[in-house]
Amino acid sequence: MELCWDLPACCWRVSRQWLMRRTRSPFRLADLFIGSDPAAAFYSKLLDDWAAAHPDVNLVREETQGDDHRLKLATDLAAGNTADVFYNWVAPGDLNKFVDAGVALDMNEFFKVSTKLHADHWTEAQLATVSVNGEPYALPVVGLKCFMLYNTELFSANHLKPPTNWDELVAVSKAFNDVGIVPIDTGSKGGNPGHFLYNVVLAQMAGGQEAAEASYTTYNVSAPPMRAAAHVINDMIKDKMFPADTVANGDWGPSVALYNQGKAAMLYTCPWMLPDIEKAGMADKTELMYFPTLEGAAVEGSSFNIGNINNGWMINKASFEDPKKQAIIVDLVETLQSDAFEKFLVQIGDFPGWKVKDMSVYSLSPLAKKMFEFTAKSPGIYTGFYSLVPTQGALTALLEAMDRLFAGDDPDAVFDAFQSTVDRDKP
Amino acid sequence: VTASIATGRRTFAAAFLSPGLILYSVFVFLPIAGSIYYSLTNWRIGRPVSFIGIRNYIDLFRDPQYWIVASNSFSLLLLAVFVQVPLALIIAYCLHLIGRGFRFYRSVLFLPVVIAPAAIGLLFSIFLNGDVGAFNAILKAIGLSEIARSWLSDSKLVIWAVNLTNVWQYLGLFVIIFVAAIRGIPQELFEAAAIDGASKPQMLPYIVVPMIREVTVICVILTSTGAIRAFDHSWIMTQGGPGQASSYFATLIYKRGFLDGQFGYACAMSVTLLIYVLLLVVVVQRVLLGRAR
Repeated sequence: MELCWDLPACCWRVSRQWLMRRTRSPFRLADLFIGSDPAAAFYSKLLDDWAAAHPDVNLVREETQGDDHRLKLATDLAAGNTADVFYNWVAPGDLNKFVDAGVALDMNEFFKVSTKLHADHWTEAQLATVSVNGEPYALPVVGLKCFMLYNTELFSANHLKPPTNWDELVAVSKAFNDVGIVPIDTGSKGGNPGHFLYNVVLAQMAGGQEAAEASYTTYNVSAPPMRAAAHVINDMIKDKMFPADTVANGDWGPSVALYNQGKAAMLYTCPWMLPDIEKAGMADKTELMYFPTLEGAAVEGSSFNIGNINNGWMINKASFEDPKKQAIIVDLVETLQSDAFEKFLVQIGDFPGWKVKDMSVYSLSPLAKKMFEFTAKSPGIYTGFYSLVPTQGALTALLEAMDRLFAGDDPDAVFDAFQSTVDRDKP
Repeated sequence: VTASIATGRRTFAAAFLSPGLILYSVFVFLPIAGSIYYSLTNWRIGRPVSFIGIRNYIDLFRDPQYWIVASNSFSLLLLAVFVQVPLALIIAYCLHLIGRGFRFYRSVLFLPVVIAPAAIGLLFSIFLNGDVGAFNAILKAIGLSEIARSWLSDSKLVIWAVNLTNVWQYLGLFVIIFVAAIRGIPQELFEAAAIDGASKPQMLPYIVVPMIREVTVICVILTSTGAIRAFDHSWIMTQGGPGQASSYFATLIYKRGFLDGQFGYACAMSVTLLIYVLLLVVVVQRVLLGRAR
């Protein structure tokens, strides 16, 4: 009998809550933590808990995976339909268009209102990477350092040691090619992950990093060090250091397939691929190595990492200025940048984009631990070329150029075409 | 009375036509008009929009990448019209001739059509992988290892790898259309030809082709407009690369519009594509149907 009363009452309460939420104007959060993203489950629970604690907020989660998220943000911006809070890449090509359009909130405004998050949560250098004209427009979340892995079993089975210079790299590559093993598992489709490897070569060239940094203002993307690095990549292709089919073995998923199958000896990759490598049971046979110092290099391969702040939270300025939304935004962003989520991100191998005093507070997988320890040994951190190109069009042109370069096209022709596209894209 | 009947008929027709017309206008004509307008502006993400006349069209025709994708799109068009349609017709005729297993072969041939192009693209990118793909392994197994290539990374070959995947996937659609058309040809014609001594291969050009001319025109229009708007296989298999080596019109429009945020420029490219499609339909109808009349 009691059930007869309770059931309708419960249904009524649930439907009333649902109706109340639906009738309120939506509060939109756009992010990419879905599907196969290792943070998806944790993040989803975090948001579910937040939504449960805020029954009066109609939280609408707009989630798209990987580069599709970049596309969604660009389309939303073009349509004047940007979400209230959104997760974005923070390279100038990605961030500046939101600033130019007056959509991005200057985070100093956020710091004035937030009780939990202040500028001192980040280092000055971290905030500088998300700043335009000295003002931060994003809260850095995930940092990045790329690294080189090698399969210890393959090296010892072939009586080889990880190469440290060009001559050793050529010798090791020949030895692996002779037994049908791909020396370095790096391809390029949509520029990934080839452009990271190009970066590490460019940074070894005399004046390479300086040229990359200057490209943001000069629009010169084919300076001599950039072309020299392209010729080194071309030499590596001639020495059969990469898979023959770089497009088929490019893009993130396929980029680790040969390595995970034991068909490639070395792999230049990024932190977000560690879970894939661990899932394939490769963690025990994997060690880190410095990228070999190449012929004609001015900078030692062991002296730097390619890295920067990769992603961060951004806030829609108009939403923040809406008195009905400001408190919700502050509360949500404080939750998104909470200790719990930060700890989880580091646990799955992401580099913290915030100030860390003691890494021991984080629980790490063995491979992630090795990665953090190894990359910490190199003193320099060079921002990737892809983060420094001046426009969104230049970024696409760079990624297209990388596909051509790794496919073996003439390096000078590739960089001539890249430069002419960037010239056309000048405002 | 006649005038009032005519008015009534017009009202009746208008009442039934208007829902479709309104929907078509909202979802087809208005976006086309919008694209034409935006093609005359410098619309870029995050920047103010202003009218620049035909500047985008001038830049477009000077852009070497536009001509690369034009060549790629027309290569697919030629392959579709001169290989896919004739091949589909021959297969359909063979299916018509065989009695046993007709339904099985028909289903097998149609199966790829109902699979998402993205899935087919992914499948073929693995199949054609120059390092670990099955295609090169088969070539090596049958002693043709000299032919094995990096099908998706070779700038000269990649467009054919993508084109053939596209043609393969939709071949079954035209086979089914032709099978239905051939089955509609009166059986007496085949019997009369057989009495006159015509062989089965001779019946194809002398009976089948003339009798299904209008269906052939539909197939040519479908395949050529589909070819000129192709996108999926190119994007999934290679993202249009290396460079633009396997990009079609739609791939480059997508890159310029959604990746680069150059919407004005992308709209100009879309307008040229619309013109090509319209021209193609007119030419195909004039050439094939005109000759029939």
